[in-house]
Amino acid sequence: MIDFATYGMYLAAMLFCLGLAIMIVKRNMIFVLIGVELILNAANLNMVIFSRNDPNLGGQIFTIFSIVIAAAEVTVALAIALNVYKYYKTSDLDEVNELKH
Amino acid sequence: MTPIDVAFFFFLIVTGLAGIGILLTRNVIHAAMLLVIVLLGVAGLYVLFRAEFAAVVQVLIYAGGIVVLIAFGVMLTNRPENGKLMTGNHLVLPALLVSSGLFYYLVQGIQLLDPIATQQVAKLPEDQVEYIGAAFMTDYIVAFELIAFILLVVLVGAAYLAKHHSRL
Repeated sequence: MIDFATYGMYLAAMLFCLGLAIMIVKRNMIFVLIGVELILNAANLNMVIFSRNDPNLGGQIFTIFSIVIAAAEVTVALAIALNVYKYYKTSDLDEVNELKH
Repeated sequence: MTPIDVAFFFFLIVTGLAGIGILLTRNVIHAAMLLVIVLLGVAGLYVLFRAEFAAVVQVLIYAGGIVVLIAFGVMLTNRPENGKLMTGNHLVLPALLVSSGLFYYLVQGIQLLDPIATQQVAKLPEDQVEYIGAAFMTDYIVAFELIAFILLVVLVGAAYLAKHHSRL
């Protein structure tokens, strides 16, 4: 009997750390958003794994809420990224370094 | 190895490799396409962890919606250099230190868990979609309405933010 849950948790931990590393390393706005998506997916994967032990499916229901929140987050983030690009003419986060309007 | 084990390790390895690929690639479009592979792999794992409805939602919203949004974002906010959308890295060493240290401690934490308890599977409802639909309308009605309201606000707000203004 292979312990699926533990391997799934290792993968979730790995996705979380990869997302964190991507958020720190990459200089592009879109790359940082992709890192955020990976972190949210790691959290959802953990919730689904533990939902297997719950006859009320609490983890799975909250995964669906979390997916909807992620969709809302990425929509607003892209709208902001679009405005930042329009103003600074670059998507490099190192060059977006002044708050002046 | 049963076919389910094979499918499990297939999704596990594909998801992990695609995740590492996102970290290593410098091309934004490649990263978006690798993100599709990660999301589909995670959806496959959802099925194997007996969360079919969450898997369908994942494919519809993530692989269908969010990745298209991100692809639009790539096209609207990047200027190709020599025909390629490349991006630079910075702070590589601190990022590796922080994330590998965090991974080490997460693995330590996972190893503390009782493997017998995590392998237990409760008796799940026969028809999960029906059960989740009823739960949304009864136990989770406040959260459901709030999330509907948040989606409406986000839709209007994002459309307003992305609109052309003479002055922001």
